Amino acid sequence: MKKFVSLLLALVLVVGALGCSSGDNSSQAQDSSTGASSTSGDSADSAGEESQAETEEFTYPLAPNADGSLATITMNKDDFVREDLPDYTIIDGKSYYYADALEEATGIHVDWIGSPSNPQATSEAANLLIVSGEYPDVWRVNWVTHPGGPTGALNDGLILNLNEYSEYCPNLFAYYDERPDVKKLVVNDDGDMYCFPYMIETDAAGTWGLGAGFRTDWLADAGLELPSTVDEWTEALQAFVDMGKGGLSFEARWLWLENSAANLSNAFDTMYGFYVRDGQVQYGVLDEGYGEFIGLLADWYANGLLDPDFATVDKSTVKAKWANSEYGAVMMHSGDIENGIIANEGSDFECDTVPPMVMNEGDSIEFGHFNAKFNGGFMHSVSPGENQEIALRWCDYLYSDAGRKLTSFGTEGITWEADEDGNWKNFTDLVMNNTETTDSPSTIVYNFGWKTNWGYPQMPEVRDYFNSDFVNKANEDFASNMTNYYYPTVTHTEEEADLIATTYNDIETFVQEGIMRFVLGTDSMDNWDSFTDQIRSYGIEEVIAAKQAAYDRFMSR
Amino acid sequence: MASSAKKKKGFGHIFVQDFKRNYLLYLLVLPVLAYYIIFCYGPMGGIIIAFKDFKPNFGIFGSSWADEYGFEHFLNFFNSMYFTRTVTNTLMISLYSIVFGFPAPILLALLMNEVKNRAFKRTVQTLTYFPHFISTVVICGMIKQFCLTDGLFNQILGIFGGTPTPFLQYPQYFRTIYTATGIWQSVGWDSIIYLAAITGVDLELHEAAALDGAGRFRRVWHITLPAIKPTIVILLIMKVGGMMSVGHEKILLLYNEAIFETADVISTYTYRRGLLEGNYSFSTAVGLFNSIVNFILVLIANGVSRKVTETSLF
Repeated sequence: MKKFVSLLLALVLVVGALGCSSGDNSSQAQDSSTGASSTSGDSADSAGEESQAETEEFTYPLAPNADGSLATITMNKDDFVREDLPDYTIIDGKSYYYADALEEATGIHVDWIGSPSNPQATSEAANLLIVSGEYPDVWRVNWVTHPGGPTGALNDGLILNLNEYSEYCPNLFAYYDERPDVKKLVVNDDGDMYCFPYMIETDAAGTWGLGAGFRTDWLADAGLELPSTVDEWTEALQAFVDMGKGGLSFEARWLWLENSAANLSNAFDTMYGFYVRDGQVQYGVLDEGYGEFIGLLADWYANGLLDPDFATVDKSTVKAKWANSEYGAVMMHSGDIENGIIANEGSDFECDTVPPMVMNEGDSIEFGHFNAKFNGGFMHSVSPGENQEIALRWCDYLYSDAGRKLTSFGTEGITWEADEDGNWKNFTDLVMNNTETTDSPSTIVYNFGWKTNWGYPQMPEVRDYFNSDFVNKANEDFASNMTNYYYPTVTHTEEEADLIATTYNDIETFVQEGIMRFVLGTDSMDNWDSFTDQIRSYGIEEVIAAKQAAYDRFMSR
Repeated sequence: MASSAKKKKGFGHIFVQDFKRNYLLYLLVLPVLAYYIIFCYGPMGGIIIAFKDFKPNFGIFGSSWADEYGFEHFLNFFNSMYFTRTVTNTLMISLYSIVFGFPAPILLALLMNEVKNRAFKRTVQTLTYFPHFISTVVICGMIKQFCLTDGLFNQILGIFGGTPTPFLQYPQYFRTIYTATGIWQSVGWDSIIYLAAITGVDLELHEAAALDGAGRFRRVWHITLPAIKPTIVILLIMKVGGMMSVGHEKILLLYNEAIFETADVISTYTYRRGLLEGNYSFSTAVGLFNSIVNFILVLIANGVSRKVTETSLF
């Protein structure tokens, strides 16, 4: 018996080892399949060229291969491209699946290669593919944050310079000819178009606007209005604490991310990180106002107006605290603030959003949370190779009018209806009154193409359509003049990138630690000046100069 | 010359004979051998990227050499403003783990060995193993909840009249939290090897000692402990050899900017600066530096142990 058990264990070991390598095998199998398809793609390629020569006009869908199979391109997986986009049952029993609809419209099949990864590790997974030498036909990699940047990727021959292939992507170039303002964001400093970016076509941030919400029912109990100035904020938070509730709760990371804390620091005419004032790049932490802002937070924390756990709480905890009526004010996304009302339906839970904090009544609102149209997050680039023309055609389809609408709304006649000009009019019952699923209409539409975050300019209607009145009001509240101050997505030279990697990363750690110490009261605000002196001594001026140089190049694109 | 050739032949001969007799055992060891060659020794050549400016698309050999005769990344790390702090934190956390964490499973094993009630023993064992099987992510989520001002720790503290403190926001508590939860997480699992060693102790020794009037503590002190001493020493040497490498997962999940002062260790710093920025050469350089220090520590611990306890790894 003992022998049997040990034999079994050994077997498990062997199988385990085999299991690892069999993973490799399967990817190899995939290799060979893509290899096969790339040759078949070739024939389609030449067929496509021929037909182009004959008709002078390329039309979708691409003609299938001689054996009836579709032309195939490969794309690297990431967390946002899931093969398991759900399909939705049409009322009469058939189902709708966005990926199938796209395949039908383009005549091009997409195969995934590589391993899926979380957003932060995307470039890691991409690096694995780069090392393997087996490039996908279409890259889903954020080249802006990738070491070396887009220019490096172009020089290293990882991606095509689309300027040289404009005949294969007429839709992309037509779109950016119409939108020079946006084009400036998505080319590199040399004017090379290197990607098909995902564009959010609306100025409203949708449910992703971030700002503060207050409990209006509690404010009314205390005889207060929604606060706008610093003093009113302090008074309101104090009133909540006097009621035995918590004051303001938010996750500490919002102090650094997405200009979120600008909702508060606006009162002091500054914000965290880099911003631009009159063409000059500024590092907000060095502003005099920023010290005062941290001083205010420290006062709030010391007096119990700020969540005592705010350095460690995560999103779900803050949401729970808000929904459980533990806190009178929160700073989070508008949709999450509204969820407090939804979770407490039937009770007297009432809340409202407020504009960014100001110093004096009537001050203009300059800084606030801001979602850039293009932050490099999602894009398609094409790698040079046998399939490059099909890949370009596929990417370009998403930039055509039909492709945009398909990815934004689904298929006309099935999921949406058009007016006489062919413009989107409304969603069909499949979306609005689908009895086969428990998903809300907005979730269904989200699952068409939005969820993929593919490289396409999203139709603005799809983002705004499902916003509740609460969210729409919140987005108006959270509006600011951030477009004047926002530091755009620039491309850095190698030297600049080096400097930022070595110097600025260390400085940022130092700054974030310091700010936390000051807010939590483990360091006295008297030391703020020596703190900023230290930041300077670590070489922040050089980093600002590098950021300025990159900004100047950006402006002269 | 001739003798060495003869010797060689001799070894080959013995090997072939032994192989014929025990080929099943050799077959059994093959996967492990393959594992070490493929996953441990094979990739070692990759260390070279510590001396290069590694770029994935150029590959390991195509990337250019780093500045400063290849030592740029090492100097970068040594000259970083966080070098001293991360090294100190790493060593302090390791020291805490060794001083408090290392004896814990030994004590548990000794206690368990003295328990005669089988049902009780099994229950305790299962309960203490349990945290080992929970994912670190979940464990850290629990610890974070426990440390909140309205969390478990503060509620217990409240019974004794303490004021609620957000423990994970003050640097002075971090090492204690890390070590204490580490013990909770691993004490049961780590005690298995000691329990196994204890089973090997000759019962007759115990009976003889009992006849001579030795009590429980005497017997543990003079019989059980000396019997498992080799196990303890070898595990201690290995633990000392890991002093420079504190696992980053748990710290990454627990720390925040407010407690970087004590919580930021080499591995987390490398993660932030090396991996998140895609600076693989830097990460490798730091890793290589860690390994060298660890290796030296093992040698020292091994030497000391050979002198003092006459037990050693090699």
